[in-house]
Amino acid sequence: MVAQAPGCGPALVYTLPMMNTRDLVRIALFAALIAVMGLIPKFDLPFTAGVPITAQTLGVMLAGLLLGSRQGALAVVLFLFVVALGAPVLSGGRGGLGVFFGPTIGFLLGWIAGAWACGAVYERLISWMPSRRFLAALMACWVGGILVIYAIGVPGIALRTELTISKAFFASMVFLPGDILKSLVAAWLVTRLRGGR
Amino acid sequence: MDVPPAAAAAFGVGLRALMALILGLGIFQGLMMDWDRAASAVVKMVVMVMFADLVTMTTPTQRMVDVLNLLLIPLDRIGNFRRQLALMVALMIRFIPLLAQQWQAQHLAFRARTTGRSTPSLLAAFLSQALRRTDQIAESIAARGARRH
Repeated sequence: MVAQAPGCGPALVYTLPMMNTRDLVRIALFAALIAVMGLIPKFDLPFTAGVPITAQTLGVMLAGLLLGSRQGALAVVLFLFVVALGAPVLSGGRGGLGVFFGPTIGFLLGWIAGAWACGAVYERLISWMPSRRFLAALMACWVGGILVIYAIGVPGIALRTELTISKAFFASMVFLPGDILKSLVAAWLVTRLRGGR
Repeated sequence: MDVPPAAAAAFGVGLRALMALILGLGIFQGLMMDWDRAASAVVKMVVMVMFADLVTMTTPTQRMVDVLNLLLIPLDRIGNFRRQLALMVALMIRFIPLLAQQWQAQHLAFRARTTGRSTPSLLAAFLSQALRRTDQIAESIAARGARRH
């Protein structure tokens, strides 16, 4: 995130100032990770047999936590862009423009804000309590990966189906146990990768 | 108009997956509120999804990309936006089979060494390996002279 030095010549003007090659590749990696988590549904998550669960929100949470708010959100944007292009990379092999008119549109857009919030909250918390990485990541996941995503996804359902907000929320409750489990896994993974407890 | 069979298959799968959800929501809505409005909501949604899918189904991806290429020209003012986007899309699509392959390889290696079921630690190994490879790929892209995209 280096600010552009003045008078650096035209070559620098033509690049996004905050994107180097490594960032680009990482954003692409996490977008692909979200896709892969949809392709391999049996990501060995037990206790969720009956609940329709996609591991894709796990990818969204991890993007926010490991890439940071801005790049995490960009990874989700890239993923959704490729979905819109027609690649069947949403869970269940969905893809194309159709999903953007389905009832889950709120959740898809919520992923962008969710990944961003996940990263933002995590960055704040980890600088505030550096020795409690698991807790910081878990709380970031609950705020970004669950609260924000539902806050956008539930009104999306209500808008699409004429359900009231509270009933739409009730309908989305089936996903909540899976999301809590995923937040635990995400927080554990971050602790494992970055060290700490 | 020629519809490639892969696109048609994807369309079928995609609609079926979404249809279950839409019907589930419709039934929920019917039980909670009234069946008239549930039915109208379901029909509305199905039609919208089908029309949007129709666009995807009848438009080759290359055409879609061409249109976007034109539409996104203004964004080049904030940086070499389109080339960066193109690089990221290409990388992402290439990463999907790569990651799936890597997952399978690590899963096999894990199974060969232990008798237990796969655990989240396998996921951690998968992620750290993927991140390591990403940095290597970034380095080799830089080494091939794409310092400024």
